[in-house]
Amino acid sequence: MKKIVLAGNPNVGKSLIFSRITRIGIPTANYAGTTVDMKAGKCRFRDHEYEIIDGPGIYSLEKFSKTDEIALSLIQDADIIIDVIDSTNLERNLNLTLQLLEMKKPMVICLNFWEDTVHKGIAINAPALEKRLGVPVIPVSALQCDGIAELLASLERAGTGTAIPDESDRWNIIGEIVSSVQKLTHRHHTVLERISDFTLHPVGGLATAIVVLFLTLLIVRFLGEGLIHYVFEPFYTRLYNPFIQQMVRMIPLPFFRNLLAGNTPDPLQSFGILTSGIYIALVSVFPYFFSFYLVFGFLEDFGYLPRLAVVLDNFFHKLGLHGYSSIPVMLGLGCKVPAFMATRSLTNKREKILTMVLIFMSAPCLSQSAMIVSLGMNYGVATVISIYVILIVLALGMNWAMNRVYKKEASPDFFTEFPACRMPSVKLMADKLRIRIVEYFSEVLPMIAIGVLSMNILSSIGVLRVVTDIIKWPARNLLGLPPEIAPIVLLNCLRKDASVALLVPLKLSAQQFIIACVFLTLSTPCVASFFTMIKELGAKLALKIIGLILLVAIVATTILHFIFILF
Amino acid sequence: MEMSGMLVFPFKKPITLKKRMSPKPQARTPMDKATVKLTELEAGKPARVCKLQGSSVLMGKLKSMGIIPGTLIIKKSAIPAKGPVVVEKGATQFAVGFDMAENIVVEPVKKKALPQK
Repeated sequence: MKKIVLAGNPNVGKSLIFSRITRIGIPTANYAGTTVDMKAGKCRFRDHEYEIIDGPGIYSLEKFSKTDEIALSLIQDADIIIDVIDSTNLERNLNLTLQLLEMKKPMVICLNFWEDTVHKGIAINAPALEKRLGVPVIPVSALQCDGIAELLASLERAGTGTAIPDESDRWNIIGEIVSSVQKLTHRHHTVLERISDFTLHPVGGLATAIVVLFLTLLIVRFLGEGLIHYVFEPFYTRLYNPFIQQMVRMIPLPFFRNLLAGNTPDPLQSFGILTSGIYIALVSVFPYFFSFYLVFGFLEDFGYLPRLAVVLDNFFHKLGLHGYSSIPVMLGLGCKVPAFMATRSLTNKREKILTMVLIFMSAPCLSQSAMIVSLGMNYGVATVISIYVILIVLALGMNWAMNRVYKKEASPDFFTEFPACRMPSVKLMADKLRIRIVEYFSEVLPMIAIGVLSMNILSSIGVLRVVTDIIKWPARNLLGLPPEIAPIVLLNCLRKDASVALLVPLKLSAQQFIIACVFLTLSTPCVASFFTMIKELGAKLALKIIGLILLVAIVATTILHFIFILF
Repeated sequence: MEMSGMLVFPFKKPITLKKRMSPKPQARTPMDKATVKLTELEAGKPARVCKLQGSSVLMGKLKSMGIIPGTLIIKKSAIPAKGPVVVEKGATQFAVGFDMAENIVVEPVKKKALPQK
């Protein structure tokens, strides 16, 4: 089976072409560096079977970051290269194309975004380009699914191309090729281009950033609340819960009955897998999850994130980082796992570590946030706001200190390309949202089930009592929390939303709730983000960072406790 | 590459200051090409890249995007307080950090196609 590798500049639509060929859904977005990993899939076309591989984008065959390394090693192993080019930006893309041709591997060229060339006033003579480069050149419109079959058909004709002279002359050759195959016609600025200019304007950019952040919070909140009150809460209480209660009654063994449905009707106190587990996942967290990724998906596909990164560059400088770190940090507001993975596109280790600490500490993940907000509102909005303010202050303080202490590396400067602003395709946004929702449910339910089950087992063999005894003293005297916090801290390693939900039966005061939420957010990562951290940084470094943050969590919450006692 | 050899560094501060304050530069002969750092170029103005200084790895990245001596670029905007500089080259728009922009030396050009105000 031949290995086909999709290579090309960042943000030329490789991942969408991969999805179109293999029918495997992978997230796509409108900014450079969406794909940080290798994805493989199979496809049959006519009598051939191909293995299709998608990887991160690169500008040239040099290595600047971890993602470049991944991309280069994939290209090295390819049997046939599909060089994906953004037709609206032929000149810049050809630089990589010519370098790929020098590798003398069978190659075809895919002119993606073909549909955009028309209204951008660009006319490319594909046959002429094919003749000049000596490899098949296929116009493709991945969004509209046009040209995918032609692209696959052309793989049989993949060639090694005509000889291109050495690199010193490359840009001249590119200029010559572009002027011979491409014609530009004058056209007016589109509305999207005006918006783009505005978001990059010194004042306009800041104004847009503030409006966008504010609107995002507003939409996530009201859409999330609306979904809970009018859809999911009624569904749970009127349909689902009565049904489950009836089903469970048929189970003869009380142990299993309790395990599945708990022993009280309150879904936040019973802690049955099918009652609390479903309630947390579906009613408390999912509506916010849905609203957040709806808005975030729109911003991603519109191409706004890199523009926000530019506006935030100054601020991130103060933390020893660059604006591009803001994209992983924003991803981290949703889930820490993709956020940690996105740090791969950062160029050095120091930057990666500082960004990860910021992702970890600055805010809870969305699932946990949803629980903190919905439970915290019982204490009043001031309680919720204090939790976030405390977390942000700690995160910034930690980053500031680490930036001071941690040996400076030659820090490469901020650099990012801006994707053209696009009106997001509803179909693509829906696909992406679906992928995220499926991932969410396939993780959240098993994790809560495992958590509840292991808690029950630990408690029945007496381990929980021992742990509670150990934690009792420091919990009460340092943090001012009841000893029942012990199992919650353990569950926190599995799912952070479930652990916050477990605070309900403890009947904490507002101050205790603040301390508990800050502690649960910082003390340990959830199991999924823990392994992602190890994968990205290596076990030793990851454990060091987690230990350090745990220490900060203990010290900070202890100080908080004493402040609360004094005032 | 040859072009950069012709230029004299470090360039004189007065010239760059004058450039910033008076938008109308005096007629110049090709002999006294005034070069400025990209950070000093007025926003919205086109310029020709003269030299990429410094040894930063990302200078290599710039080169891989076609930002080499001789290329025409437009400085689209600059985020205040030493923020990034937004640059347009052909159909590509990108931002470079302030420190990096300090190391890009350009020569302002009058865009012939641009209608005069």
